[in-house]
Amino acid sequence: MNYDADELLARLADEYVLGTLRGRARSRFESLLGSNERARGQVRRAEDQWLALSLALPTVQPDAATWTSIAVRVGIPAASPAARSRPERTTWRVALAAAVAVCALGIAWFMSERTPAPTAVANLATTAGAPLWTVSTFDEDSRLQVAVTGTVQRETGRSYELWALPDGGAPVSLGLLPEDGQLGRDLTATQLAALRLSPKLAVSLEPSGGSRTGAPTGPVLYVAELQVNPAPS
Amino acid sequence: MSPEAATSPTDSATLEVLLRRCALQDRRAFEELYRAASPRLLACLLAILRRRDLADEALQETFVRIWHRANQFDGYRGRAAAWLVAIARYHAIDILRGNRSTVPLADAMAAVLDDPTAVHAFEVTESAMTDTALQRCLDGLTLEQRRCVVLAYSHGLSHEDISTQVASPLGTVKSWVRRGLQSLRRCMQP
Repeated sequence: MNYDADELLARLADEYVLGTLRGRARSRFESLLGSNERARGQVRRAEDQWLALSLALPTVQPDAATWTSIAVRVGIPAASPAARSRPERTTWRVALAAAVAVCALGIAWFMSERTPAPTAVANLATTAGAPLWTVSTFDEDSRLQVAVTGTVQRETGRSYELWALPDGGAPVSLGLLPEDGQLGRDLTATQLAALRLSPKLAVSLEPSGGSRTGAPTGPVLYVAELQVNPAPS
Repeated sequence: MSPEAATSPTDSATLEVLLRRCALQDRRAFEELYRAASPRLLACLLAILRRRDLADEALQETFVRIWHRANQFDGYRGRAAAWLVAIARYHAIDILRGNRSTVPLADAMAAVLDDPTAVHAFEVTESAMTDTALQRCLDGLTLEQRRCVVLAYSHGLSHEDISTQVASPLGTVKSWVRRGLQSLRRCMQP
C-alpha cells in the first residue's frame, strides 16, 4: 500500500470517527472496516486520539430504570435481593373462605355481583409518573386484563409488548398492549408460572406484531412492580 | 468515577478485566461495568442526541451491544474505554443519520452556537482536559478549525449543521474540518 492510499485511509478514518463521514460514504467505509486491517488500525488511532475529550464531558447518572431495562433485554434476572415469597397459599385460603361465606349469602347474588379481585396489579407509567396501562392478573381464571389509563403515544409500524420478568429466568411475553381501551386475554400455563415468579413487568417497543425472537429486542420503555393481592380500591 | 480515575491506567485495566469477564457471560461483571461506565457513556450520548429520552434508549442499546460484543474486545488490548465510547458514539451518530429532522438542537445550545463570539460550547468540555496531548494539539489549530472539529466530535454535528451554526459556507467548513483533522493527526503522532 502506497503513501497516498495510507493517507486516504487516515483521512477517511478521521472523518468516520469524528462523525462527519455520513450517508453512503459512511456505510461504504464501514464495509471496508470488515475486511481491511489497516483501516481498522486507523480508526483505532483516531478513536484513541479523541478519547480524552469524551472523558472530559461532565458525567450524567442514568435513571435506575435503565439498568432494569438492560437486564431485561440481555436476559439477566431482574435484580431483586431475594426471590419474592408471595403469600400465595394464605391468599388462596382467605379467598376460598370468603367465597364460601359469600355463597352462604345467596348464590344468585354472588353470581350477578361477582367482581373477582385480581391476584396482582401493575401500574405502568412514564418516568414522569403519567399513567399508561394498568395490568391486572387473575390466577384463578388464568386471565390477564389490561386497561389503558393514560395517553399512549402511537408508534407507526411498532407495537408495545408486555413482559413478565421472572426471578432467575428470561422474560416471558404476555402479548401486545392496546393503545386505547382495554382487553382481556387468557394466559397459558407458562405465562401464569412466569407471572407467579415475577416481581416486575416490563414494556418494550417491538416491530409491529411483537418480538419475533421470543425475547425483547427493542428498547424497554417502562418497568413496574407487580403488586400482589392489592388492597381493594 | 472522577475524570482522573477514568483516564488512569488502573481504571482502564479495571474496565478491561470486567469486559473479559463479560465475554464469559459473567452477569455480575456486566453490572459492575454498567455502574462504572454508564455515567460517562450517557454523557457522550446526551451531548450528541441532545434529548434525554433518546439518550436513555441509546444507553440501553449501547449496553446490550456491549454484552453481545464483549467477546470481540480481545483485539483491543489496553483500550477498553475507547472501545466502550466508540460503541456509544457510533450508535448515537447512526440515530442522528436515521431521524435527523426529529432531533432539533436544544434551544440552549442553539443560542450559544448562534452567538459568533461564544465559544463556550466546546470550551466547557475542553477545559476539563488538563494537560493531555489532545488539548495541546487542539491548541495548535486555528480557532475555526478547532471549533469545527470539537463541535463535530462532541455533539455529532454534520458539515451542514456546523455550516449553519457558525454561519460560514459549507465548502469553507469542510476545508476547516479537513485541515483541522490533518494537523491534529500529525501533532498526535508519537
